[in-house]
Amino acid sequence: MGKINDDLLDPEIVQNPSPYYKVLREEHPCYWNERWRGWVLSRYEDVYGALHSTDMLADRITPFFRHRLSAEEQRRFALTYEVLHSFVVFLDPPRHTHLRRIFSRAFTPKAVSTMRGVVEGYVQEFFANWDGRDVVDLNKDFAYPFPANVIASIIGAPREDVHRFHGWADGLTNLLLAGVGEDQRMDRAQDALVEFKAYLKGLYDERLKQPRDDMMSWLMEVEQNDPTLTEDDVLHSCILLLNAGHETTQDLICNTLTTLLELPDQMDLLRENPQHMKTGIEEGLRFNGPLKGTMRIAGKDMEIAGSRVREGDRLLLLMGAANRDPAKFENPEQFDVTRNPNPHLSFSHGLHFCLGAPLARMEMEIAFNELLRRFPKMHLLSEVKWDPRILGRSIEAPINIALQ
Amino acid sequence: METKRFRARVNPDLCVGSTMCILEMPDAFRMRADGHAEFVGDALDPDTVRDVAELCPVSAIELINED
Repeated sequence: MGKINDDLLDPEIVQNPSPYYKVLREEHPCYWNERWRGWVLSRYEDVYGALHSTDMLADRITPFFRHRLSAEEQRRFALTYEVLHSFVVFLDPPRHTHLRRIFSRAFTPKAVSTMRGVVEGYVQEFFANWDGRDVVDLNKDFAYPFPANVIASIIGAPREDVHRFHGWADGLTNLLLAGVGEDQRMDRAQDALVEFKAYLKGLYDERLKQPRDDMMSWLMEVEQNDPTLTEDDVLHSCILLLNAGHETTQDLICNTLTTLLELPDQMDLLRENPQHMKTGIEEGLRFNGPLKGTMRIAGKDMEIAGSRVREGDRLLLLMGAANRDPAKFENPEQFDVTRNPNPHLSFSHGLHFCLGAPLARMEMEIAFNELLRRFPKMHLLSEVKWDPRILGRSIEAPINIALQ
Repeated sequence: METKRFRARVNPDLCVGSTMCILEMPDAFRMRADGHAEFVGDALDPDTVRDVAELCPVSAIELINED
């Protein structure tokens, strides 16, 4: 058993994490990463078990603020803590259970199906703008603005404001998904949150005077009938929804399309057999999902794959590595749009299964059906270069695609 | 008029263990050791089963007619 590379942002690992994941799974399934100061899990069985374990805590915000920031920093970034600590993704039961029961009603497959017309409308509009062009930037010309417009429509943010929350979301994402070379990540995130919250407060006040048919108005109605919910809960939840509602879908679109463009056989198979679109999208999620991993905090002492994990230790659950585990997936390094079943962990699992999964799946299906039908000759103009992030799997912009 | 009674079945290939069904009907669903939910309740009226099925984020709950 050799020494393992501690640098999760090593350019070779960022560009192609698969060989690294293989070594982790086979030789170091649960290892202490000194540089990251936490345990790294890579086998499907262990990642799955951790996602389902009630002894694994989702609140990694409180330990970070209490133990990694100075008293002065804790005061300075109190707002960031307050906002992040109210996000349902960072909560544990019973508060998590309460909020999840509220939000889940808005994102059931049936509720999401009522948004199909909105999603189809945006897809048609964006691709109509591609007609006649030789080259597009997949990210700028579709993958970002499409899901951002959809989630803005759902929440009730005016379309002309969508460009504003791009910058705010970037500030937050750089903090949450562990970007590199960002010394001022906390400052940027807090500045973004201050502006984001002030902006949403404006929308909130408008709806106090006149409720509308949108998610913010619905949340405000729930708030009025639920004494445990506050105005801040509504505003912070909208920040989370606006952020999570487009960032991960943006990456999923880019990652899946570039993978298909690099594998013409699979692209042709999907184009000629659109009945495989659902399984193709699931394979995109498995193969290059938007999140390589997620974090948990050990709620008690425990043993995982022979390692002694202590209460309070943090863990990195590598869904990306689990999704390529040959113990679970046949030919895991092969991208196969017909793979079925495909029990990938890209939307997480258990209590924290992604609330927006039905929406993301519908957005992907509508967008890719149209994309493949409308632009049969598209091809990549440059090599795919991945962003150095520990948790996120995101391609550096621009992603130039020739349409002719 | 006699109302038809239904049972629910959780498809283990689809279930992600979100526990929404258990939160909604703790007497009718429970979590198995493998992280999937299962139906353990008595037969229910169809509207009740449909309501809980619609809450499942991956549509893993199927209705089975008892008759």
